[in-house]
Amino acid sequence: MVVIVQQFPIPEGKTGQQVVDMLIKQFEAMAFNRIGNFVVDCETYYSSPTITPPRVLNIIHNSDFPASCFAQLDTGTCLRADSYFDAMMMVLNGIYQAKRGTKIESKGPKFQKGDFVVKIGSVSIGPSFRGILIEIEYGPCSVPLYCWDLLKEFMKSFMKVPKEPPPYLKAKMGEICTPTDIISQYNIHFTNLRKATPIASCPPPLTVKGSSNEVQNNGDMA
Amino acid sequence: MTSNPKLIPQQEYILQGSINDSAVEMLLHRLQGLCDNADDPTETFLDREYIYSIKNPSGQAVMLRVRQDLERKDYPWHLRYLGQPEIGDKTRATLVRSCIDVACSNNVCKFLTEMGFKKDYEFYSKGYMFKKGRLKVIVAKIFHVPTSEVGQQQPVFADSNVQTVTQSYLVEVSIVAPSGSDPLADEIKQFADQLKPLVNLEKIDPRRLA
Amino acid sequence: MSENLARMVQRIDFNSIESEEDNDDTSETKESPSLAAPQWPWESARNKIRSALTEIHVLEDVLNIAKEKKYLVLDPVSQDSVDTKPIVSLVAKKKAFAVAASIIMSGADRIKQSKNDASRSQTSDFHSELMQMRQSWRLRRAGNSIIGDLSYRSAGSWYPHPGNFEVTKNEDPPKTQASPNQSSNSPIGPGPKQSALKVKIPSDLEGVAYIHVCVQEGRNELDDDPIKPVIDLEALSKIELTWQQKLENAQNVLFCKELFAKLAQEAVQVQFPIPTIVNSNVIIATLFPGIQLNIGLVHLTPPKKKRKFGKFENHEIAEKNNESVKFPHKHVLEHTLHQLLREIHYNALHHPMPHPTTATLGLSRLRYFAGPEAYDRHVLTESCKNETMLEQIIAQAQHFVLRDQALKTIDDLSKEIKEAIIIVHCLCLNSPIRSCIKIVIVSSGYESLNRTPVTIHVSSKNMTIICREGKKYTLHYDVGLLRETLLSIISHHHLSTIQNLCKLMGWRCISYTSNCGIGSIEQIGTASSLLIASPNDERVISIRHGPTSGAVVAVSTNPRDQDFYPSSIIRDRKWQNIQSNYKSIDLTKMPGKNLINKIETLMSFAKG
Repeated sequence: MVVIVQQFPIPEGKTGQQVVDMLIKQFEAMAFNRIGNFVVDCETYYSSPTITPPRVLNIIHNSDFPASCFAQLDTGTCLRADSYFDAMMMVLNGIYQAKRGTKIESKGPKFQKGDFVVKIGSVSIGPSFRGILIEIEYGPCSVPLYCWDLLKEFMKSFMKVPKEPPPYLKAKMGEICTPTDIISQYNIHFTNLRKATPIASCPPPLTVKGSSNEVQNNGDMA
Repeated sequence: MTSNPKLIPQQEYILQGSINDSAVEMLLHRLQGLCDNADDPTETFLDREYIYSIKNPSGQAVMLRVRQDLERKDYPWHLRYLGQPEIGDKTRATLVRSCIDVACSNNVCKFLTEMGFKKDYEFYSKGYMFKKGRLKVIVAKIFHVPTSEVGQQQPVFADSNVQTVTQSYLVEVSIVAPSGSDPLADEIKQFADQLKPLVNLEKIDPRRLA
Repeated sequence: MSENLARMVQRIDFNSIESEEDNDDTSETKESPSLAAPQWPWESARNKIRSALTEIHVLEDVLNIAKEKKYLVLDPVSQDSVDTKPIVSLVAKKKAFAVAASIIMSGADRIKQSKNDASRSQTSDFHSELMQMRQSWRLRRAGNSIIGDLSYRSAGSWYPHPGNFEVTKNEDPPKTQASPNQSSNSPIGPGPKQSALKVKIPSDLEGVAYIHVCVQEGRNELDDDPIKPVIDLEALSKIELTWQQKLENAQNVLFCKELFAKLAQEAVQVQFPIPTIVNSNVIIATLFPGIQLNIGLVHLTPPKKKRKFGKFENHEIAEKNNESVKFPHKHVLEHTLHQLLREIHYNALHHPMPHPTTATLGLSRLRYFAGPEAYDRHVLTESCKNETMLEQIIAQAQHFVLRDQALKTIDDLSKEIKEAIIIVHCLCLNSPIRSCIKIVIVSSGYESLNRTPVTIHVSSKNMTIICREGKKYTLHYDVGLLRETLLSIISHHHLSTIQNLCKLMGWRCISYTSNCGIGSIEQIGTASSLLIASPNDERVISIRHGPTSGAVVAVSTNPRDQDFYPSSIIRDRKWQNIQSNYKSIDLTKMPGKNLINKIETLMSFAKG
């Protein structure tokens, strides 16, 4: 499968919920089947001052990989482990500490039609709404390069698509897309959305800002 | 995720002992008879274990163990935390220590190093494994492979370049169970008694050996 | 003087003194344990050993002194020869001999008797037999009795029945001569030894049991008991069983009970599209409409005393036994059930070993990989599905029925169809729920001309027919459809054979329609039609072949006649080239063994 996670811009004068509702209606109109809900959550841990160089560790769970726990360092290394890894973080309490109230999650409905699965996630930190992430999955292909045009065309049907694939994916166009890549994409978006100001009613045009952030972030990753 | 119901604290109940190389054959025969699936061929293994540690702000070291199966390279690696062993009094039959077992992808060494862990040492463990119900019995020989001549390269485990540490095999009988299941300790004790006098399994506190 | 002393000494009975000392010793030891016992359990033993050591030392000293001859000389004591009368001593000796002889004789008698007994009553040694039993059964002592274990618990079963039996010594006197004689009539030769062991089996495990599996076609009333035990009870009650056979039987009963209990539990728990019915000792599951699978536990206990039919476990009267068995017992399915339960037992004990060794014990391999390999929800839910035993047996029974029916249909069809030869081959590589039938259709005499291969995959609920050109038909369990599809395939086969024949004979195929809309409507499928022309285009044969209606052949000539006579209407010869009307041909009156043969004949005629 190839998965691309994109931020969905919230047009001026609309609330996030309205946009989500609109999207849901749109997919239902496109004869997509709703196949349940999903949630991706991410908790960020910061290393204690004794650790040099300082590190940031993101612990991410994805409800579509219920047995797994992903741990991604700011170096880009992503460990796939089973869900007992959460207990390991408790042992490391003091060395890696989570800041309170930084847990970010994206959750919402899942739709499927044929080979496409679309997940509409509302991103929030605690009660504050941060934006909308759309995850598009195309089942039969596993290398992004071969289906990017198809994905682009599909995405065009409901959102504005950048000409170029997002930087993370662009670097990995010729490689097989793995669950780690999904998590990494979420991680990038989460990092950006954390920095973004909470959205009330009129969000800034996100496409431009999002991509610039991603570039910067990708620089970090490399 | 502390509320995750899956994260029941686990404890390992363990007895350890050692047996001389010359007598291990006899022990293996006995174990095969005592344990489940006596009709199957004995399960062998060759593992490599790395010990990583990191100091927390108060100066105490937290130790994590990474184990890799060298015979089955596609298997997940295993990350393990072992708490301080509790010897307890005479009424407690086995050593008890808290443990966290996590199966993880093969980049765990890189991950730990990047997290700030330092590799303390590593060793190879080769031997036989049995089970009886929930009991896990391991008869293993510890090897050391000198890494002087190789830099980043993983040393190869071969007869030519391994060094045995002792002239004996390590014998371990253990159960991992949710904490508080103390009757299991007696189960281990009973089993260990059946191995006498070939091998005496005891509560061994590694801190006292040091 | 010294001689006198020696004589006096001789008179002293040292034995008595020693015994006195012994007594003293014992009294001492009796006292000492009371004092020392609480201290050390080996106290008395040590004391004894120590005193023995002292005595040995003394003895050694005495011997040394005696040997040295420096300090002490041992002189034999001359004894007074007791003047005895030879007759008295003779009598005394004789008496003594007689006593000894009688003791030996009685001993020999006893040994002989016991040996005779052993060979006569044919009882073997209790202990050696017990040892024999221990080699194949789990025994343990509980107090004074020996309890054995019949259950499959050590093999991985969780069935709660204790499954104990008790072993006792056979105290019964050897049976009357009658019974060994009876058994010695059997060709085994010497009658079976009477065992020294007696096994006591729980009453609910006595008798004979088996799982009766049958497929019932045609729906009868539900309360009609579909299961007829096929065991002759009378014969059963006559057979004398050894303890080994008895235990094996009891274990079999236990196994069957567990199997049935598990199936019944699943029948209640699992939601099937058509619910299963559990009726006392029978589970009824519907395989296909009108066909049901009956799984029953048959447990017959031999009659106690009366030589009558044994009573059925749930008080059903065995009168029905007299009726012939309506639905034959399917041994294969019974065997499958046994295998399935054994597999469950096996899996209960055989978990994959953890690797690396510190990994958690008892996790399935998939579960262990799930985290690090990030298996998604779909894979995980798939892996959690495991079919229950009942589902599996139903699927197998369905397949069994479907395959039987399919084969029967094909057989019937090949008997029925004279025009073509149907060659059927069942592949030997199959699974319990999937098999493959290969069919080749040829026309007799034209085997090399055209072969139509057809492959039929039979699974548990449907059949798939795959034709050569890649056409695939998925049929449900209705074998009528299979028949119809095959008929239309055969119909096509005829026409394609004729086409091949055309090429061989130099004829031309003008048109071919696989579903022609002309003519009477076929009951099933569609008719196909073929139009062929002779090499000089003077004759045209039209063939229409339908799956049910068969072949209709017509011939037209072109030109109509060899001679041309211009008339007022037809003035030019060229008009003769217009095809004449088709003349239908009565195939039944034509020579030839099948359609192709007839067409060939027709072609050769038409050519000329």
